[in-house]
Amino acid sequence: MRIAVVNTKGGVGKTTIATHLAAMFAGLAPALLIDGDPQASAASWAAWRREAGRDPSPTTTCLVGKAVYDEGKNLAKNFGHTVIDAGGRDSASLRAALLLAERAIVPVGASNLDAAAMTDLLEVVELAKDFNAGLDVRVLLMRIDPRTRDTGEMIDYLHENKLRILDARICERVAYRRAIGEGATVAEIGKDPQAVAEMAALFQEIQA
Amino acid sequence: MKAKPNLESYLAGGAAAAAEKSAPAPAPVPAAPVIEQRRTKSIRISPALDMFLKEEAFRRTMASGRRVNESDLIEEALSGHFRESISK
Repeated sequence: MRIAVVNTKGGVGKTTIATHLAAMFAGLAPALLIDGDPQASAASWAAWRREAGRDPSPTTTCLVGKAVYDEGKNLAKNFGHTVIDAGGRDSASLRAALLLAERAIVPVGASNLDAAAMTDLLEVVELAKDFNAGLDVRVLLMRIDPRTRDTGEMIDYLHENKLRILDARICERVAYRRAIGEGATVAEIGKDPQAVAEMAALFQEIQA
Repeated sequence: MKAKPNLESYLAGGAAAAAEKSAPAPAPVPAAPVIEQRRTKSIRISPALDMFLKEEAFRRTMASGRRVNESDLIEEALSGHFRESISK
């Protein structure tokens, strides 16, 4: 399976999701993690993971621009699963990731700012479908706070735009930040059972 | 009827890609700074400070796009603390 984790908005948790999915896929079969973000946060995670000697690890590479598609499609042939972290803006890397992927996961926070930023992304996704008609796009609600109305409003907005929403939800938790900084997953750190359960539910749903 | 899509123009069409194209040529790289000698020191700190250091190092690494480690933060804090003594 080839999965792109994308959003034109930065700071929504793309790298958290991409690195977790890549590590979890690596437990099933050889997995490739393509870091298409110039900030190379996923590559930093991979370096910390290597330093910490964690296993299994995805093979991680940085590709920029059209290379995400041109090189990525050849590299992906050698792996059971490929995860692409592309993003933070409407770049050639993000567009190429949408061509390479079979499924696009769009992490979004539940706020008006996130909803506004989605307009740009929806336009790019529609363009990508001209070339990759089978692209399956799913929205993942991130950093939700069940005490506020924002999540409900965001869900309404997504339904209005006919977007499919994953049942899995990822809440705001320190455990995710700490795990990334250790080159780990929340399951490997094992200190927050709720974070572990959230990520396991997401992985299960994506595989289904 | 919808026109046949053009892959090249799609890939080149990102707003960020356009900005990249029009970006000025990078400035020449300055000469590498002289690296000061470093000494290794083992110290004991509270778990709370340890966690602050980890999180701050991670936050700055993510924000700056370059690796900021805990030693950098300790050096920065101690340099500030001993600034007057160092300058004497």
